[in-house]
Formats: sequence, structure tokens, C-alpha cells
Amino acid sequence: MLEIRNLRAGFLQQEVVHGISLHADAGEIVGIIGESGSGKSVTALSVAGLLKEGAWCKGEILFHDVDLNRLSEKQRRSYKGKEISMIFQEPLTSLNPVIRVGRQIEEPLLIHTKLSSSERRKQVLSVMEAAGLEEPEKLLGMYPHELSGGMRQRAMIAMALVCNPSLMIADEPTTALDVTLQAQILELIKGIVKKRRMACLFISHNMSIVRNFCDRVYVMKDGELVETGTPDEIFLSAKKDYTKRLISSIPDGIPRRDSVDEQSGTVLEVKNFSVYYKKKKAHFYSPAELEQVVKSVTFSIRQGEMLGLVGQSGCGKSTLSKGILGLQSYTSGEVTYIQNGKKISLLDKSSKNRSYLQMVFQDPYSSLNPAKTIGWILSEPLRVLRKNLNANARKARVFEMLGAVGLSEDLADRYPGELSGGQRQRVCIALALIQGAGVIIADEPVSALDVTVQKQILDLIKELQLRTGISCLFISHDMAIVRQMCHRVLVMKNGELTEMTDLEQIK
Amino acid sequence: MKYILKRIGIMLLTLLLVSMLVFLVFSVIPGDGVLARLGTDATPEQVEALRESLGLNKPAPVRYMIWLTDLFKGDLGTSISYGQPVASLLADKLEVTLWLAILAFFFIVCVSLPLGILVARYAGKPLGRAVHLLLQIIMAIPPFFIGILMVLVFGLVLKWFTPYSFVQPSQSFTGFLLCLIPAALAIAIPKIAMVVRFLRGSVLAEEKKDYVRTAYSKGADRNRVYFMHLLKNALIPVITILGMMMAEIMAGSIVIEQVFNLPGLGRFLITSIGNRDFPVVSIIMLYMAAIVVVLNNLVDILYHVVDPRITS
Repeated sequence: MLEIRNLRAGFLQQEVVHGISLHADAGEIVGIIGESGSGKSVTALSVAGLLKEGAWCKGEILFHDVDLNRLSEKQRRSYKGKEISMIFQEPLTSLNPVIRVGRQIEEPLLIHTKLSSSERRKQVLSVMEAAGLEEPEKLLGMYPHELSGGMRQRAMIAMALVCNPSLMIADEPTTALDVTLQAQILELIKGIVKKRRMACLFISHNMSIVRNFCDRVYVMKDGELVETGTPDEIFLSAKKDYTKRLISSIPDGIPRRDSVDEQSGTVLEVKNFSVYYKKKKAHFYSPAELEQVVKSVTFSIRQGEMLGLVGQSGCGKSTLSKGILGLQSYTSGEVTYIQNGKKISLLDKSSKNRSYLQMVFQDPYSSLNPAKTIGWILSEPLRVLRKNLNANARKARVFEMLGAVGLSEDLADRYPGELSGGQRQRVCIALALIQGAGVIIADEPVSALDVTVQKQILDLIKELQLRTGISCLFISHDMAIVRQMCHRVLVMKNGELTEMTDLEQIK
Repeated sequence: MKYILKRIGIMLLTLLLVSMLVFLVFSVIPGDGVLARLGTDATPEQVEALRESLGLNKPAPVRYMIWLTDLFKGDLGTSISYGQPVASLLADKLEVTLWLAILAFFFIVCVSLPLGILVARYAGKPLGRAVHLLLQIIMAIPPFFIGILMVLVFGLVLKWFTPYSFVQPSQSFTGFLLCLIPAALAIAIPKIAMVVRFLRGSVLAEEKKDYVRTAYSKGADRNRVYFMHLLKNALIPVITILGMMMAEIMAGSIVIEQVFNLPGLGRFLITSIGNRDFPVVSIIMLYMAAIVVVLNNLVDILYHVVDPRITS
């Protein structure tokens, strides 16, 4: 159905896809995996005809034996949304915020067909049902922000199906969703593709999804195809080194074997700790009400322990970690840091106490100040908290930490924008450790990173922890990662904590 | 409904604060309306008598309360310098300024929206760049200067209109509006340049968003994407700017009425401040504040219409 021959694509003078060929048949889900910058999205957008201005693509894109690349723009448009439709990564931003959902789903019919409004409505309702949206009539008049994340992606799928296309391109369709939702959406796409005998190009960086979901897989690296085959061929008997490296980077999920030293004492104690959000007032004179988001949780971390914290998005994981750090306005309970048998309460807001507990945030792209050099960023906590250190001592400490996280000293003069994602996350880790914190909280520290980089960062955290004996509260939604990283795991649900005793059990 | 009541409450509060402020300023600045009316030849007895009859001898807070209670009874007061009721003095002047502002706003909206989209579509191309540069220059020209230029070029040289002519709305409403057009344009042109530049930026920012790509993926052509998808989103920040501009338009009209010799509130305001005619000045200020506040609220309501995310 779809055959791509020698496709080259790029921006202005720069070529990013160097002549790839692939094909997809009816009823087949074809996966393209690769790390960011591998050219997989550009390939998908070339097929869909959605390249931005200034980008170009050459080569043949044969769709039902018509070369799409030779069509005029007008002819090309007659394929978009009708024969070839696309599902994007982030359903919230991919839907128009000011247009009702029903109208957005209906739009391809308006553009491509001459159906009457009642026929269109019938078709919209039927694809909405096919996409698993319950009570579609009610949803028609709603706006995207009134829908949940999963419903939004289902609406996107309905929109992609409404003209009965024969090719669907899905660019990371579940990356922005929760794990449980991910599985549902994938099942849905698979069912639709098989039932309607469509072809599906499935772009993803998530190896395990591609493995379970696709009929055939292409591995891309730096704009070239590295390897192709069925998922089993790729994952069990990869021939190329790059593929092997990619596969070995997938978190294996084998539970951690070593345990915390019996002798080591508790470093952080959290007792009956709650975090509240201020509720929106019902009317002007009503008293301010607080809503309990984290509900009186109690736990402790021992020295050298890696404690996992898992839970669905919105369960209060991040709120809890920010609360412990003193970054939330309304909290109650106790947070005690224990140093050499001395108890220090962390909830009073003195900045000195902040140094015991530090955080590594999820997105290294936005959590470093883009206007300052790495050296300046790293020495900032020293300037604030270690007033006795002079400039040379600070510099020495910065270099020491850069070395500890595996970065070279000359990065100190660079700006965050010049660093790769992995390097930036290393800087964030160095920043958390630079003034000798005993406990770090890592909030999804690798979820914004590529698999191979992910593995390096996880290895680094583990190594630092073994070498320096720091403790870590490790927050993640990826169970495989949590299993291989953590000694003990806490599960959070609706603001309450339970402990998981058997790590093998976690799925 | 509750929302609207709350809005009206805030509006009244704003107007009250404006009146207090005007009163405060008037009790601080030197000069005296009675002296201005009677002239320097007046005997102290005459001055004292007029003061007594106007109630100006009472302490300032008492005078304010009297003025305020009269206002609530519907009595706008009596001009010190003209000795006539303020309401009848201001009625026709209010009409001039109000229509001037409406016309200026109408021009701003009608010209800058299409022009902004056009400039955004040609951004990066020579035509777009040229217009962009031109707008930057226009933005920097003060309205009174544009007004003078218009009088000179279109009035005296090209003779498209007769400068300084004025038709009473009671004679011919169309004639009245036609007289106001040059003045309204003088106020609108620099503002148009501003709104166009702002809208251009907003459209270009929206163009990069994901939903635009989705629209293209459905097979929509560029016009459809622009007018069905992008425009409504791009207008949201522009509406805010338009709302804030209302106050500037009112302030601009004071100067422009001088340039075009229009008998509006602005000109009367300046004369009355010179005469220290508190009753007149305070009511003009209240009128202007009311127009700004009401239009600002309309803009807020418009906001709710355009952006469904705000209401919930």
C-alpha cells in the first residue's frame, strides 16, 4: 500500500534523512524506532505531507502506486485526512482549544466529502464509538480542555478515522499518557487497524511498546535505516551493533539484589505529612478552604537506601516531594533529617536546612537557567550557603562535581543550550549534590531522555549512590526502572501511601 | 448573572475612587473657581458672597459628601464659571467625544485585524518586511502630529474635507460623523500600527502550535487553517490589548479635539481645569472613566465568548 523509495529529507541545506526505503501493507503495523534526532519524525511528516516551511523531501513516496511527492499541493491535500491521517503525540496541544470536539472530528468530512450535516453527524458518532468514547452525543459540544487525557487521544483517533483512511501515521501516540491509558490506547489502535485493514506507521522511541505492538520494525539512526525485521528478529537476534546497544539499554526490570547495610540508620523521617492546596473560593466571602492532596503519609529512608515512589499521574507524587523540600505553601506533619544521631526539622523555612535535601527534576531542558553558564549555575548554591568558600574553592568544588558526574571541566564555561539532554541531567545531578546533600529526590529523572542516555543516567545515579552512600527517593512511573533501581518501593494512590514488599510482584 | 452583578459592583467602585481622586487633586492644586469667574476686579465681599452661595466655605470632606449625595439624587451640579447646570452643558459635548472614540475604535478593529493577518502571512517576505518597518515608523508618530498632517494634506492641499468645520448631530448625523472621521483616523493610525504588529506576532506564534499541524493533516488549505483554526486563538491576546487601548483612545481624544477644533469633552475639560470648575471637571472625568470601564468590561465579556477555557 505504501512504499517509500530512497527518501531524503532535511531542512534548508542540511539533510537529516539520507535515502531510506520502507513499505507498509494493509492491516500491518509498521514500527519505526530510533532515538531523538534519528529522523523518524521527519520521515513520518514527509509521508503525511506536513513538513514545515523550509523543510524538503525528495525520493518516491508511493501510495497505492501514486507518487505523492510529485503531486501538486492541491492534489496532495486531497489525500490528507482522507486517505492518510495522522495521530500526534500530545493530544491537548494537537486539538484546537477554542473549537468544540465534535466540530473538530467532523472537519475532514467537511473538507473532503459532500455529505449532509445529518450524515456527517452519524459518521462522527460512529467513529467516536469506534474510538471508545462513551456517550458521544454528550462529548460533541465539549471543548478539549473539558476532556481527560485519554479521551482527548481517543478524540484524535476518531478524527483520524472519520474519512476511513487506508493509512494511519501515529507519531508517539502514547508518550504523553499514563501507563494504564497507554495500554488501552494501543489496544484500540491495533484493533482498529486490523479490523479496517488499514496500514499503520507507528513512530516511537519506546522499545517495549514497539516490540509488543508492531508487526514489523525499522530501526533508524542518524537518518538511516539500521535494521529491519519482525519484532522477535530485532529484539532476540539483532545483527547490528547499534540495535544491540539500543536493546541492551532497555531497562531489564530485574529487581535489585543488594540490600541496604543493616547497620545504617535512618536519614530522613517523614511523619503524618500532609500537603494541601487552596481550594477555589465558592464566593467572595466564603472562608479559604484547603484540600488535602497528600494525606498524612509516614515513611523513612535509611542511609544509602534507594526508595522508589510510584503512582499514576495526579496521585500526588510530585506534590509530596515538593512538600518535603518545603516548596509547598500549605503542609502539616513532620519532616526530620537525622545527621549523626541529631534530629533536624526540615519544615522551618531556613535556607540552611535546604542543603540536606536536594532535588533532581524531570526536564533538564527547562530546569537550568539558559542565560547562565554551567559553572555559574553549579556554584550558585555554594555562594548562597557556603559563604566561607572563596572563588577558588568554589571553582575546585565545581570541577570536582563535574568529574563525579562524568563531565569534563571545560563544560563549566558553556551554556545549558549547548549541552545535550544527558549532559544537562548530569549537571542537574551535580547541582543536587554539590553542597553535600544526604538525600536527593529524583522526580522522573530520566523520562525526558532517550533510552541509551536513560541507561547512562540511571547507572550514574546508582554508582554515585553506592560510592557516596547518599539516599535517594526515586519517583518514576516506569515500573521496570523502579524495580532495577530501588531497594524498596512505595505506591501512592489518591494521596495515600502503601508499601510494596515484594518487588517481583510489581508489574 | 452573579458574575455580571459583581462586575457592575466593581465598576461603581472604580468610578467612586475616580471621583475621590479628582476631588483630592482639586483641593490640593492652587487656584479658585470663584476668582476665575469673577475676575481680579472683584471685591472681597463679592467673592465671599459667591463662595457662600456655592457652598465652597465648607471643609473639603463635607463638600465631597454633599456633591456625592447630590450625584446620587441625579443632580450633576452647577458649573462655577458658567452658572449653568453641568448636565445640560455637557450633553452635546459627550456625544462628540463618545462618537469620536467609537469611530476610532471601529477603525482600529476594522483595519488592523485584516492587515495583521496579511502581514503575518507575508512575514519574512520583502512585502511583509516593508510593511513591518513602515508600521514601526507610524507607531512612533504622535497622534496630534498625524492630525496636523491630515489637516494640511487632506484638508488644505487635497481638499477632501473642510478643516475645522463641524456639523451638529441634530442637523445631520451623517455630516456629523463625516466631520469626526479625520480626527478618529488621527487617533487610530498609531494604534492600528501597534495592534497589527501585535497580531502579527500572535499569529506567527500560533502558527507553530500543534493544532495547526493537526488542521493541515486533515487536508485543510491555508485559508481554512488561518480563518477557521488560527484566528480565534490569535485574537485572544489581541483582545486584551484592545481593552487596554480604550483608556488611551479617550486620553488621545483630549489632544485631538484641540487639533481639529471639535467641541468635545476633551476641549471643555481643559478649559474647565483652567477655570478650576470642579463640578464640570469631576463629571467629565466620571464620564470618561465610565466609558473606559464599561468598554473594558465588554472586552472581558468578549474574552469569555472567544476563549471557552476561561469560563470553566
